[in-house]
Amino acid sequence: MTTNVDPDKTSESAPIEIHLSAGAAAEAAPSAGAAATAAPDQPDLGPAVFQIRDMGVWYGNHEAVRGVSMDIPQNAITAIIGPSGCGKSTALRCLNRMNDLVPGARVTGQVLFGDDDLLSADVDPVDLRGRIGMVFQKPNPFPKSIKDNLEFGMKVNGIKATAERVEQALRDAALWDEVKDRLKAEAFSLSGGQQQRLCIARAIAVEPEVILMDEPCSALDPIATLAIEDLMKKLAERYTLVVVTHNMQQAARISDQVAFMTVEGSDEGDRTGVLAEVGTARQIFSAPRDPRTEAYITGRVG
Amino acid sequence: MSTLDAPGTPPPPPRSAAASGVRPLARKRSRPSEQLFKWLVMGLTAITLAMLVWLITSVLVRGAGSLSWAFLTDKPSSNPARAGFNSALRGSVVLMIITLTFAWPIGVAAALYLEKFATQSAAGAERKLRERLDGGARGVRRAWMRGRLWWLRVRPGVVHMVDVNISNLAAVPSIIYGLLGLAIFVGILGISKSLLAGGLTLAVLILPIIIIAAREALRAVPVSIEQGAMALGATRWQAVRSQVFPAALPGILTGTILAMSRAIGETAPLIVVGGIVFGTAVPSLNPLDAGNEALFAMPLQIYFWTDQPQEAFQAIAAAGIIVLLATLLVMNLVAIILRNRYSKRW
Repeated sequence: MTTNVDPDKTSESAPIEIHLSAGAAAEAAPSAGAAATAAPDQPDLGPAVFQIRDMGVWYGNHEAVRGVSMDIPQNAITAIIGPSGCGKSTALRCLNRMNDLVPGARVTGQVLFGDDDLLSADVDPVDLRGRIGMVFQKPNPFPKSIKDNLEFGMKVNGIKATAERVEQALRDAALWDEVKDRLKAEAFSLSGGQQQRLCIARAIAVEPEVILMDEPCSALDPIATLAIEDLMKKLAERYTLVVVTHNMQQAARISDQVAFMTVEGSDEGDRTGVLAEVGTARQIFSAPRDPRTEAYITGRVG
Repeated sequence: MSTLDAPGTPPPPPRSAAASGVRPLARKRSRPSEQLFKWLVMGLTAITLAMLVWLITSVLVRGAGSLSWAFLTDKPSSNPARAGFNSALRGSVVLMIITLTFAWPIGVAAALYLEKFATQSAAGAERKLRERLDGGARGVRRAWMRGRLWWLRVRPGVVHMVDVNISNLAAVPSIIYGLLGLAIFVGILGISKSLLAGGLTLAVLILPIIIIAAREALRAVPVSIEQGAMALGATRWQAVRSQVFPAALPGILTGTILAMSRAIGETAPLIVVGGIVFGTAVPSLNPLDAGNEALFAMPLQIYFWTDQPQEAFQAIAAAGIIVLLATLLVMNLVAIILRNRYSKRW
């Protein structure tokens, strides 16, 4: 379970990537031009774990996200920002196939994880989710003890749930000192921030390669938020993190790479999320290339 | 603050409230329609309670004298002074065991399927099946895949139909279930008119109630719990079995007990399936013998006694009612305790 994406293999797939980008650019809607060529534009932050190519999401007849192309670098924090309803969470949930659980949802395009397209029908989503963990917006511990919360993920992934592993996961999530004397206590007895760190510990305990976080701090107070942010920075040394946030200050504080998504309305009133720009946090916040990014970060568009 | 009452007194008038333009607060006033409505609902509640109190006191007054330990342990008799409730009690216990054994697993399984599996997205499964069919599956495998594809297509319609009908079934008069039980269990399956046939009939009767209660309990568990489990790499079954189902269990059990307390008081379907029994037999408490035991049950015995012309039977019927009511009260208490103790605030 400790497999990491081999950097050599990722570089081997580079020719494919160029080919795909070109194809995507040809097919993509005119407005998504910047997005379709995102990968070559992107800063070099090391080997890519995900290579997202022209990814789109449909809910029935509604196109929720269109033409997202970007690379997600290994052992770094990628933040996805943008106004509400721009499809940030929807895009994130493609990366571990959580959209499979939504009736009527359909994901198009390609998401290469290593060499494999994880959207492919013959990829086992259950196994995939064991390798790509997820932390949700609202803390969702299981209504059981702290220990049970950690052991469940290990059990379903065939990892032996030892006391050492439980302790290590809690230490990694910076929760150990607060709960070491009451591992049998109900998870619901913890504070909101502690519950969220428990959810992070639960995700770490299954030894994933990537952790996706969907607005992990939006239900927390500022102090708990800072604790989680520190934790994220520490985790990025060992894991690849993709974090959706509506908080630009947070994105600026924690991320190495920032993807800005926005909404495009159609004549029929359909609103579709698109990727406007990807860059380093410094570049996005100091010298955005796309006028929509600039309008958003300077507060002219909410 | 007093500046409002005395706008003229100058000494410390840094700011006059009157000058700020804030209007004085309105005094309390009575609202007749509000009062009327309050008294109306209180009155109607009182009528309901009065009926209940009247029922219970009249039963207690008439039956308390006949209540004794011997009443609970004696077998039925044609002599009201010696007649006891023991056979009826035993019959009801065995009926409840049989009803629960059949209705609970089937009802909970149906609820799990309808709530957690029937509505899940089939797009992925459909795509995979089509790919395999195009990939040239042959013979039986091909037919099987075609069948599954067909099922995925018609499933939403079927589930919707089942949905509507379960709610309807819960409202069907119980005597209809009696006729159904008579036709299926006694007629087709050839089970004698026994405790077994009665228990099975009651199981069918409360099946929709258990399904509805279990579905509600499952729905009350936030979907984030299930998604959290699946995001860790659990299959849907693992997520449901280890997280959603245990969280819903107190609610399911509460619903089950309430369904059982409906079943224990049912008379009409038992009359149809087993007839009115008058016997002096004492049924065995072993549910495996239920196929050979005459259909005794508390409500049946009460019905039989109230049908007798002798005044003395009316008194022991009232005593029987007290026992039945007490049983119901205990069951409902357990349900309430379960609910209060284990209900979760998500």
